[in-house]
Amino acid sequence: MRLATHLAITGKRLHLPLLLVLVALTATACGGVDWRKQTVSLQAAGYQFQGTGIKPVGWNGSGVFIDEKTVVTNAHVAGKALKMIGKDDYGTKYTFRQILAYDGDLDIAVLKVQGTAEVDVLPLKERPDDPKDLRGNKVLAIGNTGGMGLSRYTGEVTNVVGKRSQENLVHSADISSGSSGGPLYDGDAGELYGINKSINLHLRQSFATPAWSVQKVVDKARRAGGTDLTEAFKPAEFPMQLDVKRSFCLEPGQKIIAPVQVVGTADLVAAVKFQTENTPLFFGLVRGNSLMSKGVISKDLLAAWTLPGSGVYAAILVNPPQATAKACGAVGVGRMAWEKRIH
Amino acid sequence: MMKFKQSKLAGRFATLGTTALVAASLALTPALASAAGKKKAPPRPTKEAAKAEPKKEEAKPAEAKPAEAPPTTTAAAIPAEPTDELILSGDNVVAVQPVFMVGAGAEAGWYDMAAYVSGAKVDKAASAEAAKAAIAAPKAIDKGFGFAGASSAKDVRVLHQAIALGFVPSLVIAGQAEKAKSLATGLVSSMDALSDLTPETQESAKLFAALGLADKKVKEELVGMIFARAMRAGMKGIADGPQRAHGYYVAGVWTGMSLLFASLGGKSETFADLAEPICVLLDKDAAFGGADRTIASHMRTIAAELKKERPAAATIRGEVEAILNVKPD
Repeated sequence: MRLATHLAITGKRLHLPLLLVLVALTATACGGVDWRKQTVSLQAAGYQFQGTGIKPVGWNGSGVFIDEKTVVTNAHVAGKALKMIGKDDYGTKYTFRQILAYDGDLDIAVLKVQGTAEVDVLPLKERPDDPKDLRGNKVLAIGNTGGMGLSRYTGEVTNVVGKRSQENLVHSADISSGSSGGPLYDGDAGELYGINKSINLHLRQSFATPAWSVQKVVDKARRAGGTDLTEAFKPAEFPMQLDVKRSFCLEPGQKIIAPVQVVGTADLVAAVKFQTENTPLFFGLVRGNSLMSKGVISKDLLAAWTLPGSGVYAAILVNPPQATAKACGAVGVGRMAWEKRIH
Repeated sequence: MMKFKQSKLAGRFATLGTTALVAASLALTPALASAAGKKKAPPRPTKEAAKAEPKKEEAKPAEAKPAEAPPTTTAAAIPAEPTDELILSGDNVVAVQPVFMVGAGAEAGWYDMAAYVSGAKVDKAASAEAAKAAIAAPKAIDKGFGFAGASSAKDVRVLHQAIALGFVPSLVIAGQAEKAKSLATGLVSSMDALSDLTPETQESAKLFAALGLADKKVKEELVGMIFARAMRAGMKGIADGPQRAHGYYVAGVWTGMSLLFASLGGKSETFADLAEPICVLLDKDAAFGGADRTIASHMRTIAAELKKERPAAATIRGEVEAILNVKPD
């Protein structure tokens, strides 16, 4: 498509200067996109959940232009960002105020840039009949390592795993923190293989959402009008998806515990619905032997915590020993479902 | 409200993203600082308690602390804040609801396991240990089971059946097709042991058995997907009930699968971390008896072994067999 755009010249005799220009353009096209222009370091300003309150924070990530208006990154980079700015490797700055699509399961978000970027249309790799045929292909990964700007990594595809709707591209490019949302190009940066999202320190392998899965989210983004970040991630009201719902009845002094295994980062949501009146409960959130949060609730509660990393946490409800009545209700534990907000 | 301590991502699996930094320490541009800081700080949650109906999709966070004084004298006696000791102590726990694999890396976490199984080479000595344990399983299933004060014989049969199901992938991946087929055939004929489980959970059990009966070479990543399905189904089954049967199912499948990870010869922290929510269930939930605390202890030993650079397969086999042989209270 890019060649077709640049080389639509027919029926005229080509002069040498023009020919040279054409040769140069062709060489650029064969060598792929200019990844220094196509890739952006992202800075986000947003917040973390702290139980029943929030705390403003900032963070870094990466993104890639797939056309002059649209940047793809990870859902966990865009999530809870109220404002995002980006910068390419030449120092060109961009502002992102709107989100077009968000898919937490694929870990992909699509952002709309303010204005227009002078970048190429980036082809997204189509799904091969057998994605495992990609094994051995050279890849180029670009990431905003440590928030210090774009770093370049090389490697090869080592595997493609997962069920068809949720495949993961495994590769050996040794990317690190800050590379989330950055592109995984083929070795020549001619097309996008995937969007980097995580690393496995033990396996020394990196994981990316493959481009053909990204395409599904991009297709959704093409149909979207765009939602302001401040609206999509407005913290006062948040959408949730509860993985587990369970009823309980606690005598004074009794507890219910939900031990939660967290992988990566998470916004853990806990909801409590009382069935009894005037039966306040103590609650706590524990990591290992450390108490992270505690309090008393006397009405229905919805709380969320942005958990700092992998491990086993426990959400605890206690009917206070001083109480004289049984406390009954239902408790739910789950995650944020921001995609419900984005149209 | 306690503040989160900013820390590097823990564990061997990490999302790459977002190096989370407090705004104060981040060299933000003025525009970003404005968005993150005081001028345009995100709105605080309302003071109104949320309508936290669990099925409701949108709700407002509630201000939970300090507690509003409840209107009755009964509630007025409640302190404004619990002591740390009360929250942290393991006393008087009547119900435990494990939740597996939550987070930005959760989906990848399951595939991470699948990739690990796919990519690692099976250690022959370790897989021999797995085979020995697998042989012990049918004997345990045939014993009749009667242990554990709070558990019915049927619940414990679920545990042993689930352990044996968890052995099947070890045998398949180790190339012991005949042993796998023999074990799976026996398991298929005793699926009635799982009749109290939810249909989704029973389906996951059939998939495990099918791994052993497959004539073609099994794609290793299937193992991770079937395991994920079993654990998720079991987690929901614990909430929906019957709680004990589903608790034993997830404990059993994890225990059986531990031999596969032992045979891969490296540490498996994501898999090992799955044990702790199950152990808390067996340890603390009033529905489980004293013998189950012994099982939890063995599971923790296995998990600790799997976090070592070179887990000892013989040690893990010993622990698995100890679980199969736990006696009644």
